Amino acid sequence: MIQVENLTKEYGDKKAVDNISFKAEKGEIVGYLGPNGAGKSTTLKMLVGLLQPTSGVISVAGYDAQTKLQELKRQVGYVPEEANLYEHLTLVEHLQLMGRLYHLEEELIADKVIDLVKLFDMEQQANQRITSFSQGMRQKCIIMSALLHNPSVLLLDEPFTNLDVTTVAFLKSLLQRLAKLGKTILYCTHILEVAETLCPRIMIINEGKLIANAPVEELRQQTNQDALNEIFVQLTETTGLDEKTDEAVRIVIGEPLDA
Amino acid sequence: MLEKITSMLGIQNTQYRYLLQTEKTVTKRALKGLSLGKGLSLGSDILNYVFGFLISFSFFFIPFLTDISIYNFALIGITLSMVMIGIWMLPYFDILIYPINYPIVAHTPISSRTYFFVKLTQMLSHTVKLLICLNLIPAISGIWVRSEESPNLQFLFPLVYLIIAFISAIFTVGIMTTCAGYLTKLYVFKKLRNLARFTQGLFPLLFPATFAIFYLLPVDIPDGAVLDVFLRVAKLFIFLPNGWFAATVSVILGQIEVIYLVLSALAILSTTFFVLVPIQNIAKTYSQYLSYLMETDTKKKSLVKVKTSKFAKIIKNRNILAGFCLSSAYSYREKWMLHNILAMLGGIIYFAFMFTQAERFNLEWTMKSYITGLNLAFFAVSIFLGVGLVSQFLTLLRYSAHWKASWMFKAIQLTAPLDLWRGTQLTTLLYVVMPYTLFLCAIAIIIWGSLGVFYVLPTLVFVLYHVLFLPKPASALPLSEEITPKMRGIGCAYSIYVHLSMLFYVGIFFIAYWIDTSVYICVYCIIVTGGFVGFVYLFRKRKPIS
Repeated sequence: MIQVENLTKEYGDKKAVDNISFKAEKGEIVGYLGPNGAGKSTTLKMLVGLLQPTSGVISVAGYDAQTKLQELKRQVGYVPEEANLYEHLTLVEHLQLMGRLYHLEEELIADKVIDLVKLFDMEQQANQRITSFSQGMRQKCIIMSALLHNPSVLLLDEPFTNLDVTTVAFLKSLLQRLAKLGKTILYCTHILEVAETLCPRIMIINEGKLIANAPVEELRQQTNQDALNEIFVQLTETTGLDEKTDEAVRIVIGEPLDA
Repeated sequence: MLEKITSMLGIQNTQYRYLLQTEKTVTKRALKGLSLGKGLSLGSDILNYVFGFLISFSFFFIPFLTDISIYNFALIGITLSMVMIGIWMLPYFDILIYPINYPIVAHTPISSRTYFFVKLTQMLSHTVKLLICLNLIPAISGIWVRSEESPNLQFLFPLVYLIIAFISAIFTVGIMTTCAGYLTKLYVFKKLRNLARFTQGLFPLLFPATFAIFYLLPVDIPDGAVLDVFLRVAKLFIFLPNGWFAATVSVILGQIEVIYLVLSALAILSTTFFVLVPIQNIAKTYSQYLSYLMETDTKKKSLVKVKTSKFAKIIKNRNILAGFCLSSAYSYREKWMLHNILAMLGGIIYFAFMFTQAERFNLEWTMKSYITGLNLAFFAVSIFLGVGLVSQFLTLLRYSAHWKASWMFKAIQLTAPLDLWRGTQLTTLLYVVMPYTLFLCAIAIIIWGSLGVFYVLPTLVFVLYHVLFLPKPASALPLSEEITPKMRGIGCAYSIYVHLSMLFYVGIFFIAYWIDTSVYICVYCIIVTGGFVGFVYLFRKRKPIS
């Protein structure tokens, strides 16, 4: 359902994404991990057509991003990293607008909006302006927008940011059920605990390059590590953690530490 | 009907309708949500409407007092309407060039063409009210304009005139959109992107430049009636679009002359080929521009040279230093700074041109030096431009897209938050007032020799107090207020107040001079010396912020 071949994105001399290729099949949840600034969000933005790749081929739900972008966008539910919303619309108005932009029938929009608002415990905020929402409520609003048009592919960029524990548990369960129903989910995060429980397959990107793409079990065997965070540290070559902590303490306190 | 038109243009109707509705709702609510905003922000627009209406009111008397023809009457009305709409529309180009809400819908299957026409409709809707204010009275009073050829068609004048005035407005907005749109096309080519960005700042130069060309034309202005003089000049525009649209009014109302027919044809052809065709073309490539905009934020990750201003070393107060460093860093990097300062260049060129041509317009008296330090042209223009520059600069350090970041200052228990704003004022003094004063001194010394400095000092005093009294943010923190329509309202109201103060200030010097030279010298010394001392005192004075 998602097929990427030799994808590259350059900003001047810097390669934000460097010649990556991968596939995500129907019904699969793939974890897309990497340190900050590794190129995760840039990849997702290219998949949903927000950024033009420098080179490479993208196909989502059978549609080529170069030639069939509108059709591709109809098939994708996207949760961006930043919660961009029409601040002066109410939650219901925002969802209605999204439904209309995705060409849903008015009756379907009305029903789905009510159901989603209830599902996410936002009845009280339904007719309040988004400008008054907390970060968590905004995140819920973004997630509802992404689910509204029943997309066949979900591209989620840190979807659980600012959400409470109950909502995260509910969403994890929902994503697993949606995957079983045939949706393809690309879950982009740096919170490894969630990725470990949710994603059977993990991809790790570091400095624009895809350095791992395998089921979690296989990665454990390759690296001889049990926990995903240890696997991640080993693969991204994040070493010298103790020395770094010592240095940090010295900087914060402002004086050299006694031995 | 509208749906048919939009379909013909390749727009997706449902998306167009709902997105336009949303943009309108959001704008309306943004205005209503402000405690002071509604009155003030609408106030700036209402001022424009009232101004337009007052100007057009003079048209009511023209048919009764003069023997004007339909063509000339329509020419004056349409010229005024096109110029006013052109000037008024300049700030609204941001709707097209910086569509701030695009990231919200960028991932949805909305076509860039649909989005472009939503933005274009928004721009056009802003012109309609002003168009009515400017043209309603000319349209009605036109019924009484003499018409020997076809007096029976005179009753159609209001309808015909309003329709043609509306088309001329579309033409004006369309031509400007085409220019702005082609700027967006330039972004596709890497090397031209920066050039295009700076060219936007030169947009407002177009109008002074047009006037400059207008005055250069060989017009022998007689001492006759003002209307007569205006008509002679306005007729020079026969080769320009306003002349074409005026001719179209004449033709429809039965004045079938070859020249009018040719001009009418020009109006139709130019609207088609200079506006409709290019706009269609721009709409097709707007997606590339939007894609570029989406990348811009990511591009900001590129390395920026960190510079601390050399002036920072002389500041001892830590809060002032923080405010100064923040403000100076933003003044380096904020593209709007350059944009607005470039726009001010338009004013400088315009006034410089006007005064080099003073003799042609019997304006020599403005150039006369009555006594050392007193020259009306230099005095008024230097204050006007100085105040404009300071206002532009400080407004950009008061309002910011990054206003939410001011939580950092609020989280710290600042003993004197006003010091941060003092840092911003200091930035303005060092980066705007100081270079501007040196620039004025150079000009004054070239004209009047070493005594030229005395011509600059009163201006400097006024500009210094403008820096001091220009409204600061409620929290006194730089970059702490959200960019809203309210700022236009506040700016508009304050600018009226400042201009009145300017008149009063310049008036004091002239009154003193007319009373007696010794009175002038006393007043001059008191204002300049007292002004500087008072400024230093007030700038250093610590006042708690409520």
